[in-house]
Amino acid sequence: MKQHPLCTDCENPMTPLDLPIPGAAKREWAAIETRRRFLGRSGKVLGWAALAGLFGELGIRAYARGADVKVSSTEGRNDLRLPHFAPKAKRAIYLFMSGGPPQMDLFDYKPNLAAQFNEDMPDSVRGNQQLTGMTAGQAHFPVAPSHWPFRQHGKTGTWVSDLLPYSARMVDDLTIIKTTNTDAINHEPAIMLMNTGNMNAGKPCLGAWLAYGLGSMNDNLPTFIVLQTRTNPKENNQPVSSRLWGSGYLSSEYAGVGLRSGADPVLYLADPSGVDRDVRRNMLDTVEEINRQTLVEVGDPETNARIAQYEMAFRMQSSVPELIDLSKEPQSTWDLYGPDAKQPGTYAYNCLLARRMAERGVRFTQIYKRGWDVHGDAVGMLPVLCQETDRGTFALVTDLKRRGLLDDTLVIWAGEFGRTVYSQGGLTQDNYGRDHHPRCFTTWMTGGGVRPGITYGETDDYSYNVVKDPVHVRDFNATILHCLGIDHNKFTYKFQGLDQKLTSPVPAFVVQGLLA
Amino acid sequence: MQLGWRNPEEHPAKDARYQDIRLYARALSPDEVERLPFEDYAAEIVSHPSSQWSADQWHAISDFFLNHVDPSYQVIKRKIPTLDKELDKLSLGGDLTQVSWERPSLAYAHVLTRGVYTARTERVEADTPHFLPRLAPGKPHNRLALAQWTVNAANPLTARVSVNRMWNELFGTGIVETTEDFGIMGQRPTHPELLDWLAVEFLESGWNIKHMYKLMVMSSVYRQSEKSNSQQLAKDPRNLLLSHGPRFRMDAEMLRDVALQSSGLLVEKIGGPSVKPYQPENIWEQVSYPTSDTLHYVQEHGNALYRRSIYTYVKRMASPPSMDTFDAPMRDVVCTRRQRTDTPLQALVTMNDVQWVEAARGLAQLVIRGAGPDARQRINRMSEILLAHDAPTPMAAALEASVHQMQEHYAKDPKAAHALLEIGERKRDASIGEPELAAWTIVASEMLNLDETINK
Repeated sequence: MKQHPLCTDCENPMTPLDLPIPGAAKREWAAIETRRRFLGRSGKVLGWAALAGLFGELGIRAYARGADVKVSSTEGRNDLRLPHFAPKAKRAIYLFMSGGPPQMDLFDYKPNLAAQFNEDMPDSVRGNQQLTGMTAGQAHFPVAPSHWPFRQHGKTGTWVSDLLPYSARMVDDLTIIKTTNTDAINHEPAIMLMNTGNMNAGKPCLGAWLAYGLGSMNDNLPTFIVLQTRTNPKENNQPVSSRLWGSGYLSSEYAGVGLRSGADPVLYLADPSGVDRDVRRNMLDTVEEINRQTLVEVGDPETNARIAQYEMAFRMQSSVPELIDLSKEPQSTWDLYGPDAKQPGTYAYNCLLARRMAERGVRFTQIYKRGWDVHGDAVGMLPVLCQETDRGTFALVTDLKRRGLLDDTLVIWAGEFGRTVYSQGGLTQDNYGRDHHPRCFTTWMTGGGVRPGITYGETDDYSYNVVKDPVHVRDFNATILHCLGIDHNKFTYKFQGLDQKLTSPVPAFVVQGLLA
Repeated sequence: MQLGWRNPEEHPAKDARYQDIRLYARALSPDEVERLPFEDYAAEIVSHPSSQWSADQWHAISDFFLNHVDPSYQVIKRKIPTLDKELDKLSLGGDLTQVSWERPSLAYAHVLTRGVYTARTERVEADTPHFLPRLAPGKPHNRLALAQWTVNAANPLTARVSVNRMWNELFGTGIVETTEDFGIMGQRPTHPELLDWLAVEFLESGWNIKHMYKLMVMSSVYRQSEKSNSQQLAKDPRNLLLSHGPRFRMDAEMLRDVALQSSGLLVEKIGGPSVKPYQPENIWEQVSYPTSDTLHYVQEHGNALYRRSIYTYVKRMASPPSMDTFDAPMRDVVCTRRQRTDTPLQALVTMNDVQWVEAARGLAQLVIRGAGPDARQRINRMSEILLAHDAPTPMAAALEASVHQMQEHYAKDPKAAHALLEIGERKRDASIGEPELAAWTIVASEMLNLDETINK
């Protein structure tokens, strides 16, 4: 039977080296050949690789030494040859403002708009854009200037809205991007694009890519943790779901582990009542003893993996409660984060946990805060949203800085899109709403790898179009990967015949102007 | 004259475009109002040779012909309301439920360049890929045509894909590993001739699924021992060449069902609405709209807790976490092949989930009641239930040691024993002493957590 040229399952597979193609292409193939060999999806391979994803090679190696087990498939990670270059940031914390914060009410200062209150935005600004069903039928697109005054802050004199008094205090540390832009105009595709580089479900998110590529830095906690902020029922909360922190076609070990506020921070973490630590230890010892017999008898290497997983589970049962035990935090912590931080599930509490995870070597932490979808009553809702988030964000960055962690931690603040300068629904002297806006929105980063105290990119007078230095979501993600020592073009995973990557098939570029 | 106003209170449609505007020199009769817009349009189309008509134009003409020219159609059409009523009556209850209707107009889609919603290019209609057989000629390209095409013996895919999925379920890896993709981006079959043979067998058996499963599980390749040696592992670590029998971690639903069945908790009722068994709090609330009708998970009680896992209610945004942990798919994208991972989170489920602790207690009760007072007898019974063989001596020794320790422990701490036995809603067997039952519950939990139990 004639072999497909790319078939690798056959005894003597043909390779592109055998094909009449240019030498450069052959060299490129040779360079990535080693990596390809790892890319199987079977359980046998994944057992160990998976373990490495969740708990890092250190943990496995330590365990393997004790158990006289040869660790083989962590070579996969070595095969990836990651990081590609010395990273500036070892870990990242992503503050995700789900719903789409209005850039012109927070960071993108447009002083000229006040004079145009209730005037129609010129058609030329909008061009032939197809709007959402929510405002496409509007006869008028009245300009709604921000309700809040802006002031200059810091040595850099960066303009920030009065809505964000705490963030304003750290502008000299921030790398503000005014020209982030996306392809999608509705929440689900936009939030997927932002997190996974693709509008369609089924692709791994940024955190999963990092867990896969960089692995863990600790033995006792997951590599990628997701914290959801308790919703405020008064806000317009768009749903978020675990597909946003899913691993897509990567092994599901790389998916984010949701840490919940409450008694069971990790699902099923607590021992059942009536089972103390000694009973659990005794039980695990018995299970391990029998599993070792099975290993000898059957010879399935997966059994080794299972033995190790049960040990990891036991360790997590103490490391996770330690992580969320805030009783030893000094008063200075509470002074910094504010009283909200004592309430599990609040944004400030999650920020504090994010710092504790950074200290404990969690590679990637993502905090979701919902409610930014201010189609109506922006004047009523934005102060609430900012009050809930501003201090926690500031406290996290400040705390990381004080502890010397900000140097190698990248902190990212972003939503899935921005909002329109024109009012959705009625515009009054006192209130307005804003629709989704994909063409420009403000995000920021700070910490390892990015240049502090700059504002990147320019938008037009209506904060509607990018005038200078656009940063597409793909470029944004490419830049994040760069800070973590990863060349986004080389960081691929073969699936469905394609070398898949976070930054999708359309060319993406690291934004050099953002880098330190 | 005003165009584009539905009613005076509303704004006019903005940026509307008009395809056809007709002005008549006199007021039209109601009949003409109904007829002329179609008749004039049809006349224009008919003035061109039919070979030049677009699909839309064909559609317009057939609409016009049926509604305004063909008298027999009117007769048939008048029967429709009666028939519809009959159909409604027939679809109330009964074994068949109609879940979709063919849309009456032409179905089409636009190719979007790189999926961008504004970048429409070509308009396309339903058809099969060019390298596969064509749809039956002269028939509409609809669901019926697709169904007939799918099960046509000339279709090279259906039988192969089907038997491959059965193989995948039994052996853990398909003959074509990428069960979802037989194209050039998928894997090549490891045993192409076997796949062909099975496909033909499936066809000739009259698409008899039970026959195929029976054939596979009774084959010598399936009945091989799962044991492997280092030579086999070195030469073929993934057992693609099937030198030994399949061994892999069971799927999420299967695992939960094993726990329920082995503990005597399983309720074997078939069919009926989905049920809501145990689930940790705040799983749905975290991801839902505040107005969602599935905002709050309300756990059911009684038999609903012990139905087979296929009856568990699944909310797509938040699938049941105990199954999600074992790689059950989210159901937001199609999944024909699950991942099969081993994680510490899974160990936490099988050790700590109420459902599993309750199952351990159930299993303990079964063997205490059914296997006499002797510890070894009880262990053997557990092993028989879960592993289908007696406990080998080293295993039995380890478990016996454990049960003695646990009995001592719970005799000293009866409160702990009581607390452990309170877990789960099924009433426990009060005739068994608490320390004894607690100790055996722990041993049953150990058995349920064995690698051999969790693997097929």
